[in-house]
Amino acid sequence: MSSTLLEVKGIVKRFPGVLALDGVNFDLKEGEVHTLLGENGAGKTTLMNIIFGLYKPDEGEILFRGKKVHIRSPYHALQLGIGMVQQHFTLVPSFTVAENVSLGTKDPPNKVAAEVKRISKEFGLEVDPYAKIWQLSVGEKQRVEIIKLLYAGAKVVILDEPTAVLTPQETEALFKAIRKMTAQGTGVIFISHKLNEVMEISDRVTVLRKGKVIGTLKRGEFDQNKLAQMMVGREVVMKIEREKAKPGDLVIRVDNVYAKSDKGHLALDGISFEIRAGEILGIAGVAGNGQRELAEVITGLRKVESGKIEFAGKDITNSSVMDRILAGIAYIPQDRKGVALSPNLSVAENLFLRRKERKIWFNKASIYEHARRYIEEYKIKTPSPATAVKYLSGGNMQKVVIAREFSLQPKLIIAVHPTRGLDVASMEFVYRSLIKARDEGVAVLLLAGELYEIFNLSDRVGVIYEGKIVGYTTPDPSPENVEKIGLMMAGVAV
Amino acid sequence: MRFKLERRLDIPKWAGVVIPLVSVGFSLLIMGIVIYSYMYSKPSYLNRAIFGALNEYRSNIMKIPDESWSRFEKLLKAGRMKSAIAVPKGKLSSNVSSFALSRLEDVFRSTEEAYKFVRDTSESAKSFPKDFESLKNLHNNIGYIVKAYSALNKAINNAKSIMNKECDCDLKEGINSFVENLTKVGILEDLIREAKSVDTADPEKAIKKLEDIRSKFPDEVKKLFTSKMENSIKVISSRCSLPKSSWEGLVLDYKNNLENAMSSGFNPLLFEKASKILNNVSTYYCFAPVVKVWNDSLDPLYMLHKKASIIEGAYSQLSSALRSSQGVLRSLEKGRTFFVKDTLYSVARYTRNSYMKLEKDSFTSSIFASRIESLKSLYNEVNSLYKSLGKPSDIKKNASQISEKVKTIAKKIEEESNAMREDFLKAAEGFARSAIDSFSAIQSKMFPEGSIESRIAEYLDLLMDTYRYKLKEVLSSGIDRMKLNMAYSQLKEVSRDLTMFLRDISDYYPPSNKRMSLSLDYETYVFGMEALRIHSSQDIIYDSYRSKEEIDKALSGKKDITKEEYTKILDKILQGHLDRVYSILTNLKKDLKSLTESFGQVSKVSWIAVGSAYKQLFTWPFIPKEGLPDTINYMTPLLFTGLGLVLVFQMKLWNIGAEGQFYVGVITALWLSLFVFNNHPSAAEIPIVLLIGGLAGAAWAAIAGALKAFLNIDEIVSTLMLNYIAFHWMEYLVYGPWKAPTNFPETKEIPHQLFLPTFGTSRVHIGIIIAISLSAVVYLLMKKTWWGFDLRVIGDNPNAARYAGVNIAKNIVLAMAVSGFFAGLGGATQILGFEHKLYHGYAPGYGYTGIIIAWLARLDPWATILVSFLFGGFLVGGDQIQLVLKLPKAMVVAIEGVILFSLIASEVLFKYKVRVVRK
Repeated sequence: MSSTLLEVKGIVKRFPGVLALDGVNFDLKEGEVHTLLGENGAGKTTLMNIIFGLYKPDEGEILFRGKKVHIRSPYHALQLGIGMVQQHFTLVPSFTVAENVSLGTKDPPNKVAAEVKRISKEFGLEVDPYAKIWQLSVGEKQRVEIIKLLYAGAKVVILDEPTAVLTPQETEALFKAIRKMTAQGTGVIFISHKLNEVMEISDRVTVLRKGKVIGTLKRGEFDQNKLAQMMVGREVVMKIEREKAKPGDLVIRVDNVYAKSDKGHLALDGISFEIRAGEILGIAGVAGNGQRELAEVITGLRKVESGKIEFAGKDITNSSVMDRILAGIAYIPQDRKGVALSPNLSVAENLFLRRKERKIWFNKASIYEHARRYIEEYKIKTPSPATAVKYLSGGNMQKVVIAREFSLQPKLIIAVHPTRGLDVASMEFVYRSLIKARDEGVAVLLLAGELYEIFNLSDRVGVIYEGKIVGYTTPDPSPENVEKIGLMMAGVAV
Repeated sequence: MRFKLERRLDIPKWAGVVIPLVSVGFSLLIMGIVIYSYMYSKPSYLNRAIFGALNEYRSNIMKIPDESWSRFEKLLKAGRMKSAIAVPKGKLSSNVSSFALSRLEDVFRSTEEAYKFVRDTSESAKSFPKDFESLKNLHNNIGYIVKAYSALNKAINNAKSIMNKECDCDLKEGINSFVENLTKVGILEDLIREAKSVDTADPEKAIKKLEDIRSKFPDEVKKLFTSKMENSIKVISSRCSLPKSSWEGLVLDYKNNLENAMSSGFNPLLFEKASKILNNVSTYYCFAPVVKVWNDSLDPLYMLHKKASIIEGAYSQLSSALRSSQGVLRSLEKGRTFFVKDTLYSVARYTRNSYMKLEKDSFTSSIFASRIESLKSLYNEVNSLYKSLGKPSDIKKNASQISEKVKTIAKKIEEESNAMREDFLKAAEGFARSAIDSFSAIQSKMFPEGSIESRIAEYLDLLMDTYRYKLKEVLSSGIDRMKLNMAYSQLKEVSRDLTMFLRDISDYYPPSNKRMSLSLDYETYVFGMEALRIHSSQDIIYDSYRSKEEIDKALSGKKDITKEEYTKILDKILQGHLDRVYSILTNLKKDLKSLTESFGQVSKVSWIAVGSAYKQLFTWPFIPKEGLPDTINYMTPLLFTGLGLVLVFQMKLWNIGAEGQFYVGVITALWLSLFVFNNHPSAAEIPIVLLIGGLAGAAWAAIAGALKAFLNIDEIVSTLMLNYIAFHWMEYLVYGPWKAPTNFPETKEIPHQLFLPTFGTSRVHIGIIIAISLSAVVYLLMKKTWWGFDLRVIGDNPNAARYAGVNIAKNIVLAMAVSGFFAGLGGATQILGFEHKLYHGYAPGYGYTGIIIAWLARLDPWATILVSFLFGGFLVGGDQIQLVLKLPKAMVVAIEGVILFSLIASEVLFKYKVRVVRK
C-alpha cells in the first residue's frame, strides 16, 4: 500500500528465568492498523515497551522510516514520532486537559487548548480542554492520551489493550477515531485479545505466542476461528494416561450467575453449569472472558450480583469464604505469589494458610511436623519448612498450594491456569494430582487457556465467551473438534 | 570504583545484632561530633552572643554614667582573674560560658542602674514648671506679703508720729517686720535692701524713703506676679493640648482679681479669690484631681474584690447551714431523732459563722449591715429552737412541730443567701456605676470630642463593660471564686490600661502629682522594664548617684527646660559611653580567647567534654540509686506504647496514634480517680481504673480502625488527627473544668490510696511489672495463637488473607483496639504511678517514641523490653548530659533522631549486600 513506517527485526528479550521475546519480526506501514494478538504473557506488551523505549532489546534492531534507531527513552520515542497509550494512564489528575497535553512541550496551555479543540473535532475525540483530568471518565482520559500523542505529532500510535476499559459505545467512537488517524497516514499498532474487535479494526494481524511470532495475516486471510487457534496453540506437550470418569453425585450447580469485574463491567453474564463428583470440567476460552471471576464467585471472594450457586445440595451463594473452605471447596488461584501464598511467611505456615480446624492456640511444633510430612509427600524442594516461601521456585510454590488445598479434603477443586509458568516435570505433577483427586471422587473445575491442558485433563469441555458458556464438547484433540472449540471461543455457538 | 547493591536472598543471622549495633554506634559517633563542634565553637558563639546583645542594647537607649562603667570594668577584670584561677580543666567550657554570661549580666545590671538614675533625674527636671511653682508659692505666701505691706504702713505711721512727737514709738520695729516677712518669701530683694538702709535716726528722711518704698511696693509685687503668670501661661499654651478656650477665661479672671487685689491695697479676700482661680487653672492644666476622682470611685470596687473571699466564705457557710437544715428535716422524716439535735446545732453554728465573718470586716459589715442584723435574729431563732429540744424521745413526739419550725428556718436561710447575693450585686453594681460615671465625667472634661484620646476612652469603656458582664456572670452562678478572680483581673486590666494611657498622654500634659510624674519618657520606661529583669547591685547604684552631680551641674543655671533640651543634655553627658562598652567587650572577646588558649587547645577541652558526655550517657542511667530508678520510670510508658505498636505494625497498620490513645488513658484514669472513686478511694480500685483507662484507649484507637476497615480512610492521617483532638481535650480539662484552685493550670492530685505501689522506698512503681508481663501477652498473641498468625498474613499479603477466609475489616478494628488498649493502659499507669496529676503542657511524646522503639525492636515483644530500657536510659542520660555539659535540650532530641535515621537507613543492609566493584 505505502511505505513502511516502523520495522523490528529479530528482537530477543530475556528476563531472569524467562525468554520473553524470541526473535520477533514485526512491521508497520503508513495508514494501517496492525493488530498484535496473543494471550497474557505472550510478549505483546514487552515488544511494545521495547518499541516505546522503556526496555532495551538484548538482540535485534529497530528501523524507523528505514533508518536504524536506538530508542533511549519514551521521550526519545515521542521525538521520533512513536507514541504509546499504556493501560495505566500517565496523566496528572489535578491538571487540566490542556495542561497535560502541554507537559513536555514548551507551549503555553492557552495555545495548546485551541489546538486540542481542533484535534478533538477533527478526529472525533470529544473532550473539554479546560476540564481537570480527575473529573473525566476513563474513556475521556484515553482520548486525552491519544490527543497528547497527536499533538506531539506521533506517526506511530501504539494502543495497548485500549478497549479493556471502554463501554461498547466508547469502543465504537475509538474505532472511528482510529480510522480517521489512519486515513491521514498514521500507523496504529493495536493490542488486544478480543477477537471480534480485532476482526473489525485490523488491516493486518500478527499473532504472538510464548514470545514467538506464530504468523502475520492480512485482512481477508484471517477469521476469528483461525486466530483463536493460533493464539491458544494445539501442540500437545505430554499425554497423561487416565481412566474414564465415573461421575457420581452432583457436587456443584452454578445457576444463571451474574457478577462484575474489578473495573465494574459485567464479567459473568448469566453463566450456568454443573459438575458431578469424580469428573473434571475443563473450561476453555480466551483469557479475560470471565474465568477469574467465575473462580472467585465460587470460592466466595467475589460478590454474586444475581443467580444461585448450590454446593452439595446447599445454597452457598452468600456464604463466606471460611464457610466454603469448611464445606470443602479448594481453590488453586492463577496468581500464586499475589493471592495463593503469603510470600514472607515460611513454607510450613503457608501450608496452613487455609485450614479447616478453628483453634485458638497456634502450635508451631505440630505445624512443622505436619509440614515435614507434606513436604515429603508432595516432594516440595525447600531448604527447610522454615524457609520463606518466596524463595521457592514456581513449581515448588505450586506444590505448596496444591498440598495445602488437597489437605483440606475437598469435594471440589477449582484450578485456574494451574500449570502456567511451570516446567514439564511440575506440570506433570499437577496433572497427576488433579486426576488422582478426580479418581478419589472430587469434582474438578479446570479453567485453562491452553487447549492441550483441557484435552489432557477434562472429561467434559465447556467454552466460555464473554461470561457465558457458549457450548460443550468432548476432550477430543481431533482437528474438527479443535476447530469447533475455536469457533466457540470466538463466540459462535456450534 | 563504585558501589553495587546486590539483593540478599536470605537475611543473615548476624544482621539482627550487628546492624542495630552498627547504627547505634554510628549515631553515637555523630553525637560525639556534634558535641565536639558545639564545644569548639562555644567561645566564638559567646562572642557573637555578646555582640548581639550589645547591638540590641545600643539600638535601645545607650545612656550609662561613666562611673558605672569604670566600676564595671574593674569588676570585670577582677572577676576574670578570679575565675581564670578557679577553672578546673575538665569543666572549662561551662565555666567559660557562665563567666561570659555573668559579665553580660553586669552589662545589663549597670544599664539598668543607669536608667534608674536617668529616670530619677529627669523626674525632678520634668516636674512642675518652675514658674508655675513659684507663682503658687507666691500665693501661698501672700499672707507674708500683706503683713510686710502693713508693717511698712505701720512704720510710716510711726515715723510720722515720731516726727509730730505724738509718741515715742520704735521706727525700727516696723521696718524689721517688713524685712523679715519679705525675706521669708524670698522676693523683692532691692526693696529689702532699701528698707535696711533707712536711717531711723532721722524720721523725716525715713518717712520720705519709706513712702518711696511704699509707692514702689505694689508695682513690684504686681510685676512679680505678672511675670510669673505670663511665663506660666506661655508654658501652658506650649504644652497643653487642651483647647485654649477652656482655660483662657480663667486666666483672665485670675489676672483681674489679682490686679484688683493689689490696687485695693492688698485685699486678702481678693487674693484668696485669685488663688482659687489659680487652683482651677492647675486643675485643667494637669487634671490630676480628676484622676483622683477615678481612683476614689475605683477603690470601693477593688475593696469589694479584695473582700470577696470573706463574702464567699459567709455565703458558703450559709449554704452549709441550708444543707444541714435539710439534713435535720431528712432525719426527722426518717425518724432518726438521734442526729437532729447535733445537726441543728450545726445549722446554728454555720449561721453564726456566716454573719460573724461579715461583721468582722468593717467594709463588708457596712455593705451587708442588714444581712448581719437579720442573720443574727435568725441565729437566735435557731438557737432557741435548739435549746428547746429535749431528749430524742421528745423530739420524736414533737417531730411534726419541729419539722415545721425547721422548714421556716430553712426557708429563711435560703432567703438570706439570696439576699446576700442581691446585696453583693447591688454593691458591686453601685460601685461599678459610680466608677463608670466618674470616668465619663473625666472623659467629658478631659477629652474634646473626636480626639484620639476619646477613642481610647471608648476602649476603656468597653473594658469596663466586659468587667460588668463578667461580674454578672459571677453573680448568676452563685459567688464563684474563680469567676470572681477573672472579673477582678479584668478590673485590674482596666485600671492598668488607664494608667498606661495616662502615661502615654503625659507627654502632652506635663504631670503635677506623683503618679503622673513617675511616667516620664516612655522609651526610658520600656528600657527600664527590660532592665528590671536583672537584680540590682548596690555598688552600681552608688556609682550612678555620684554621677548625678554631674548632671545637676549641667542643669544648673537653666531656668526653664523643655524635653528636647533635657534630652540633649543627657545625650551629651552620656555620649562617650557607647565607645566604652565596645572597648570593654572587645577586650572581653580577647580575654575569652586567651582564656581558652591558656589551658591548651580549645579542641582538647572539647574532647574532654565529648568523653564526659559518653561517660554520662553510658553509666549514669544504669547506676542503682542514681539514674536507674528514673530509667525504669521512663521505660515503663515507652514499653506500653511500644508493645501496642509492635502488634499493629506487624500487620502493616501504621498506628501513629499511640500518643493520643495514651492521653485518653490519662484523661480516663484521672477522671475515675478524681471524680468517681474520690469518696472512698481504696487500692482495690486500682485495677478497675487501669482497666477502664486501657479500654478508653482501645475505643479511641478503634475509631481510626473502623474508619480504615470500613471506609478505607488512611489510618496514618486519622490516628494523627485523633492525637491532636486528645491533646487539646486534655489541655481544655486542665485549663477549664478540672483546674485545681491554684494559680497554675493543673488538676488536683489523685487520692494517695490510688497511687500505684512502689518497690520499697524507691521511686520505681509496679507499672514496670505490668508492662513486662504484657510483653509476654503480646508474644503469646503474636506467636502462639492462630489470631496472631492471621494478623501476620494480613500484614504480609492481604489478598492471601482474604483467600484464606480471614475477616480483614474485623481484625483491623480488633488489632487497633488492642494496640490502643496498651497505650491507654500505659497512660493510666503513668497517672497512678508517676504523675498523679495533670498539668499544662503535659506532652511527653511517649506515643511517638513508642514508634521508634517498636522499630528498633524489629517488632519483637521481648526485644521491646530491652529497647525501651535502653531508650529510657538514653533519655535519662540525655538529661544528665544537659545538666553536666550545659548542652541545649534540642541537641539530645536531635541525637535521638540520628539514631532512628541510621537504623532505618541500615535497613538497606538487611536487603542488599554492598559490594565494591572495580572497573
